[in-house]
Amino acid sequence: MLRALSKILVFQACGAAIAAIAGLPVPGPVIGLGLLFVHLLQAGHVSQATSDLFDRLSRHIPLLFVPAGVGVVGRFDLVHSGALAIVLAVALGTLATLATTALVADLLFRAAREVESHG
Amino acid sequence: MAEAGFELFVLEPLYGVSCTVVAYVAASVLYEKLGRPSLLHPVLIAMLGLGGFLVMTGTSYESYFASARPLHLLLGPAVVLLAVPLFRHRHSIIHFFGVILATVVLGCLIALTASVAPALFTGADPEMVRSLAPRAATTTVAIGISEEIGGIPGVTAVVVILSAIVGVTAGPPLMRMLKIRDDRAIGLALGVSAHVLGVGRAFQISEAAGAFASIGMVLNALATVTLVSVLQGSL
Repeated sequence: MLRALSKILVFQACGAAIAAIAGLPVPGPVIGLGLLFVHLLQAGHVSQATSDLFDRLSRHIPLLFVPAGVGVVGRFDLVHSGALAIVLAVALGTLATLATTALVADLLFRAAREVESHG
Repeated sequence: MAEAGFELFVLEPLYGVSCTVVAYVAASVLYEKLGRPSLLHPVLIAMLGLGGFLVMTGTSYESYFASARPLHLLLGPAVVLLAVPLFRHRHSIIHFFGVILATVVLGCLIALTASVAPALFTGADPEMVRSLAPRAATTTVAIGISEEIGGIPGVTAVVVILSAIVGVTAGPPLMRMLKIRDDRAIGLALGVSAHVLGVGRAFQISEAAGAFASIGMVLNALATVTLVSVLQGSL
C-alpha cells in the first residue's frame, strides 16, 4: 500500500516537474496519469497493490471534491450574475453531449462491425 | 479571548479535515435514508451544508480551505491513478481506437462549446467563462484545470457535479428515445457526459457499458485538458 502510494506520488511529482519546466498549462497530475499509463503498458501488468489503491481511493473520490466545492458559497455573486449561463451549460450541454456521443458511437460501432465482417 | 482561540483552532488541519469528513458522512447517511434521490447527491449536500456552517460560524472560506487542504491534495494521486482503469481496458481501447477517439473528441468539442457559448452570449464575467470551460472533464481533473486557468474551482466543482446528475438522470431514457441499444455506445456517452456518476450508472447496465464509460471518462478528461490549454488565451 505505502509502496504503491509512493510510486503514485513520484509519478505525480514527475508530472508536476515536467509541467513547470516545460511551462505547460496542464495540471501536473494529468501528465502523471500519462506517465503511469505508459509505465503500465511497458510493464505489461498492474501490481495488486496499485490496483487495490485505485479501487479503495476511487470509492471515496467525491469526498475530495468537497473542500474545493465549498468555495461556491463565497462566490454567490458570480453564480447569481451568471445563473442563466450555468443552467444552459449544465442542461443543454449535458443533453447535447449525451445524444451526439451516443449516436455517433452507435453508428461507428456498427460501421466497424460491417468492415470486420466484410474484411 | 475565546474567539481568538477559536480562530486558531480553525486553522488546524484537524478542524477542516474533520468538518469535511463528518459533513460528507452525514450527507451520505441522509441520502441513503431518503432512498437515494439523484438530485440530493451527498457531495452536493455536503458542500452546501458545510458552506452554510462556515457562514453561521463566521469562518472565512480561506481559513477553512487552508485547514482542509490535506484532503484537497489527495486529488492529485486520484487523478494519476486513473491510469489504472485505462490500463485495465487497454485491449478494448486498442481494438476500437478509431471509434473511441472520434467519439470522445467530438463529445469533448460539443461539451466545451455548450459550456462556454451560453456564458459568452449572456455576457457573463470572464471568471465565470473560465470556471465553466473545464465542465466537460471529470471533477477531479476539472478542479485542476480551473485552478490552472484562473476559474473559481468551487463553481467548477458544483457545475460538473450538477451536469453529472443531469447526465445519469436523463441518460438512460434519452438512449431509449434515440433507440440506441449498443451497450458500448451507451457507456461511452455516459462516461463522457456524466463522468464518475455515469461510470457507476453504466456498470449497472452491463460490464461492457461500464468499461467503455471508464474509457470515455478518462480520455475525455485528457481531451478537455488539451483543448482548454490550446484555447486558454481566448477564454
